[in-house]
Amino acid sequence: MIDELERVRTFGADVPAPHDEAEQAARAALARAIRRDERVTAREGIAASRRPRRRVWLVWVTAAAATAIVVVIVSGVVGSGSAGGPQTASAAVFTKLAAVAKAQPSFAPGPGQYLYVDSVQSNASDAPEVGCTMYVPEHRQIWIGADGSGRLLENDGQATFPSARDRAACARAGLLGSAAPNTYDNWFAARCLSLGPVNLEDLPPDPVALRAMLDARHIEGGPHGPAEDFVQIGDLLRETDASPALRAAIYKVAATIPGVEVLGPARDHSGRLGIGLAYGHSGGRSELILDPRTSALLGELTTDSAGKLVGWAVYLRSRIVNGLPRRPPAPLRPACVNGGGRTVQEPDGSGVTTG
Amino acid sequence: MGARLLTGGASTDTTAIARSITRPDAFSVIFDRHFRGVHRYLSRRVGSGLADDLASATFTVAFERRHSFRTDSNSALPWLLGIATNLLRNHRRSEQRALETVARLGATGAASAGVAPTDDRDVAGALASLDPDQRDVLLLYAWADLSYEEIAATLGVPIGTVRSRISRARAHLRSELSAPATAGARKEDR
Repeated sequence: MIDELERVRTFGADVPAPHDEAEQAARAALARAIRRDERVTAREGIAASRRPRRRVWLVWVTAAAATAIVVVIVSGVVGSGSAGGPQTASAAVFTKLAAVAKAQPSFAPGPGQYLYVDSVQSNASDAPEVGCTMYVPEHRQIWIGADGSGRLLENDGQATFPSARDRAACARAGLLGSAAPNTYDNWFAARCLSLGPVNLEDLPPDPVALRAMLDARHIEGGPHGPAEDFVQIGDLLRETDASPALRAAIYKVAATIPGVEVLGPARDHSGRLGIGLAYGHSGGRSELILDPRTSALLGELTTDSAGKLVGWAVYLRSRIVNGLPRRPPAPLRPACVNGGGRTVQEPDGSGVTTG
Repeated sequence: MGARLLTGGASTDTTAIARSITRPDAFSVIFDRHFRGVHRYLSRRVGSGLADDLASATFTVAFERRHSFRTDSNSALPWLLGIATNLLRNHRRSEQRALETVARLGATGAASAGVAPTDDRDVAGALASLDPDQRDVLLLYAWADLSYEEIAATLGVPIGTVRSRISRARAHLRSELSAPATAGARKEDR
């Protein structure tokens, strides 16, 4: 006798396939959403920022004195790491950074507090059919509350071009208008922003367990292999409130990635000196510049297989602040569910994301 | 950052979605792979007309929420069906009406206008009388072939809740379907 579950399984099983028109309409709707996102994807980052670049005002004042100190520290880190022990040079560097990270103060915002990160980044905007490449620097300030609420304020800078030929090609194609400076001011209800690409509370501060999660791609998904490992390590170091123990574990995991190149003393796009580590692969090369005194990520840079700059970022300041710089333009509720939400444009030009 | 542009191939759903974070057009492959499966599931639940709209919405919502995609498998289908199920919650009355119509008249909303077999009328009536949350879980299990674990992850409920909902749903269906006459039709004839 057929049981009740089998009867349910056969019920309505002969539904027709969708009409071509319906499928095409749905495909077109998705394509529209993708185009919208492509226009703003470099600006409206929810969750982890995947941002690179540019210097500006900060840090110049102390440049001379700091440089001298950092050179000594970097030399120490790199020098001992290359000393021919059983570890690779990169493993030795990451292991030292792990020790530094563990000694740092906690960066977790308490109730009513926010993690504030000030950064600048730029990614290549390509129009290969007309021979145009340009870089629009984006000054990005983010306030991330312990409850996942916060604000993302971004200001576009003036576009730069790798060559006069690119500039002319971009101008001929009418693309310079899109390089005009813009401001994006986005506010987020609770749970709409996340501190890092995942909930860091879900990550174990034990490097073995963390490595297992990375290997299984339970942290971010993505393809397997050391190149992606290196990218995901970078993801875990930006705009996060990872505890000192977790940051130490992240660096210990990084020490196990084969094929990482130690660049030695290297400067980020703001001119700050740190220690450079890179991973090169068939598709290009990713570089991280790390502060040997604090283990902080100073900047990063990506090039493609031809050596062309894909993008860069510099992380200028990170600190805990006791509030937002101004009141949001509208109530930030309801809270998001599972990171999802909807964005409403407010009359003052701000975007407000709620659940 | 742009690094993700440079890594790996898009052989799995997980890879494609990860890539779409920095290359949004990579999400198109998810549509290509799963639109028909999602549409079929929705069509069985609310008929093809509403399924057209909901299936379309499922993919645009999924695209907007791709940052939060997490899976232990390489298929995005459970995740997509979870989004579809959430969208269906705004259309429970439509589903209810469709089931009751089949139970009463035997005409399936999605298929032909002919008289449905008696068993279909009985099953429609039994499904119509189910608690909506139990129906969601049961149909993800019976029609979408999701495991208990996948349903739990998809709906964001504990696996014990999935087990108990399926168990209660099956018990309810057994009771409804064990009646000697056409349950749905009998109820409507009262």
